[in-house]
Amino acid sequence: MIEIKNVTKKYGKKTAISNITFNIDNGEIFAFIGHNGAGKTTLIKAMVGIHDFNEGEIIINGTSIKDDPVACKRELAYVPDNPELYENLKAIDYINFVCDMYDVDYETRAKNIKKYADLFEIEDVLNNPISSFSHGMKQKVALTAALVHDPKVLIMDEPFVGLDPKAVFKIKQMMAEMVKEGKIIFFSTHILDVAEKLCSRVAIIKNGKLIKVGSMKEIKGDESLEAVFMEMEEE
Amino acid sequence: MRKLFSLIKATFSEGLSIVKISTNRMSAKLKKVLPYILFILIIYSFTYYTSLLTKQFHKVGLEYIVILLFAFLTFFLTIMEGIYKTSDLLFNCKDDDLLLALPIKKSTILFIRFFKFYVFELMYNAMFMIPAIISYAIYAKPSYLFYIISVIMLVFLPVIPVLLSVVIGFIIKQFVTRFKYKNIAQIIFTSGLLLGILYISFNSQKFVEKMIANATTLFDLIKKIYYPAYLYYELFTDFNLYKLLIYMGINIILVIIAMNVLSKVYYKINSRSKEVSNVTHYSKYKIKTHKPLISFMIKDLKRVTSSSVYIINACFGLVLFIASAVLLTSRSKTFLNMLSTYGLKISMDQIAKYIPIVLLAMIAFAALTSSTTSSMISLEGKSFSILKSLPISAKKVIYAKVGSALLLMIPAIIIGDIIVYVNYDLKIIDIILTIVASILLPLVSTLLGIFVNTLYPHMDFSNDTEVVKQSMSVMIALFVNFGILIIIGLLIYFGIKSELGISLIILMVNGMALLINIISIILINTIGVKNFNLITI
Repeated sequence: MIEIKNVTKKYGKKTAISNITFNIDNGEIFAFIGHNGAGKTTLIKAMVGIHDFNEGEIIINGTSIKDDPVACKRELAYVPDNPELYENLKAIDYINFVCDMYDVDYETRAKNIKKYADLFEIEDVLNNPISSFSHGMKQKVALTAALVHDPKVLIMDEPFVGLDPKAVFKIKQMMAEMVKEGKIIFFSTHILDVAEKLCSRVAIIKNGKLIKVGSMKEIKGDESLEAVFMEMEEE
Repeated sequence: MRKLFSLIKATFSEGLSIVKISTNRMSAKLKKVLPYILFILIIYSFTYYTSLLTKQFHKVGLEYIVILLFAFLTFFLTIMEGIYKTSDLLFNCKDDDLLLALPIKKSTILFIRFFKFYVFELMYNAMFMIPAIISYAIYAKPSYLFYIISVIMLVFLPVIPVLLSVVIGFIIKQFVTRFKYKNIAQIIFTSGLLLGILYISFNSQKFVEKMIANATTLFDLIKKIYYPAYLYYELFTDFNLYKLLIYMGINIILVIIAMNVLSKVYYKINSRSKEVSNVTHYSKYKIKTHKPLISFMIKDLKRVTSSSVYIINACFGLVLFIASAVLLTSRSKTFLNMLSTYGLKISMDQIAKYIPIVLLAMIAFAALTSSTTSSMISLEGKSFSILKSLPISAKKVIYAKVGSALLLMIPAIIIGDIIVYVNYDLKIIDIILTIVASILLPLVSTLLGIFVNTLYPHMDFSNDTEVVKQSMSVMIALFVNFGILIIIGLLIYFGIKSELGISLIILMVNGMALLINIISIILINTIGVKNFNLITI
């Protein structure tokens, strides 16, 4: 379970996110939506321990990210919006490096690398340097590296940007499988159709403030998520 | 013209990190002021030493030699530095796609990059030239014309050496882009060329002899080798507007010609340098497991070895150290003969007595002039987000980087040590002490370097040179290391003067290094870790 309690993050005098509170239960796919600059990435970076935050608390499976960031990070995997990976490494070296950081044993990594490399169809290019990859390919490598250690929580920032339709379909499949195992998937997106079809719960952020959070049905009622979102944006 | 200014403004806002300071730390005010204090200290200390030199020349009425000497020195340093910086500053920049998509001439883009390179070299040259100008002014008391000419020459002197290094850099790049492993080829050819230049310089026996024998001979030599330095002297002793305008005109015309000619091949070379050699036939990938710290060190070593400017910068001092160790053993008799021609008769036994101290000085020089860690955090660049999301503590990341740097430095220093040990009969105690120094002194520069980098990270850069050569952390680390080097020099000097004994002097230096290391570790574990966690991109 992820508990986000009254989180506020300021950049100097500017408040990026203010007093954000919500929970995500195990086995949920949770979408985080909002306009550009609303504060989605700021909250995500705070959740994965990249940014600190001024007030509040983020608890991942019972551990505070402030008190024990390393223990929290062991539970989760993060896929950034723009996969700035280590360009000088080969894809397999990068994945091995991430596995080493999570102490993934040989058997598990061999099995999972095969599984996700097959899923994203990158097995043939694992020996190539990351610098030779397109944005989509880098995203697939980032996803493979994120998933090889069997994270309990998967946090993704705009995971569908730059991916081909087949890869998007496979990610959706993979997400469905993960939630069946009781894992948490939290992602930000601008693709409201995907959020509507895939997610059990959703949170909408506007100008750093959480304006709506709840189940998909509670949020949209009989309307489309897009219509609800546009209404909220215009308010 | 407005377009050009806009481009220069945009490029500089990204580029010259030396004037860009992160303020998201606790003691932001102190951190903002510190670089300026250090800059003033650098200028002050350079001026102090330059004025001591000028004083000697002043006694024989040759104070202008200092201006000539420094103009020549900056010319030489700019070429040496420029040759290996060109590869990164002009080619394969991260803003290539952005600039290429804009409706601008190729020569304009090349000019902007050349200009940025030139401005940095101008600042670098000013660190040497301003003290020389001040020192000359103190003793020669020149007219106002000297100051006007000095400002003009300060601006124009770096143009030709920067252009020369750009042309040489172009030739090297054109050559190395034909290789599969372009980066390794770049390192080998650039290092080979630099070592070649140094070898030729050090083997110009006549030049050295003339330099020692007679100052006016040096004056003539500089006139022949680098005419603008001589012109500088000529202008402030016998001002000639026509000559000045011709000189300025030649510089501008040379830049225009070079930009137009080089831009014809610039994009061809640039796009070829970006080609990455992929594995053409499928081979089964290898799964390897390592402990997190080892894995991190391997990752860091791969990162730094992929940067030709980092490798050349870090290893040049170490290569020189090994070369000096070889020279110390193979050319000692030649050196003694040379000294005896100047009336200094020293026997081999006397030399052997001081070998441990000479070795210590060489170790200190190699270790403290190679600031390998002061750019290592910055080199993470935008991948820093990935790093911070991994379950590894800041302390481990920092020490893994120190470990990687030590892996580059210590073996090279130990090789140099062994060369000396094999050829000279050193006492066991001195061997042990110099080996300890070979570990403690590289630790000084690596620990201090990484600490400074946590204070002044520069994560957003368009090429590695901005981080490795031009960032604030590198400047500060080098300056601090230079200060430590001076203290070591003083310890050795006063130790020998007071007849303290060779082993005791080395022990004192080691003690000082140990103390600095302990302080650095405390600083890293407290302020360093805190700052590291606050770094954002």
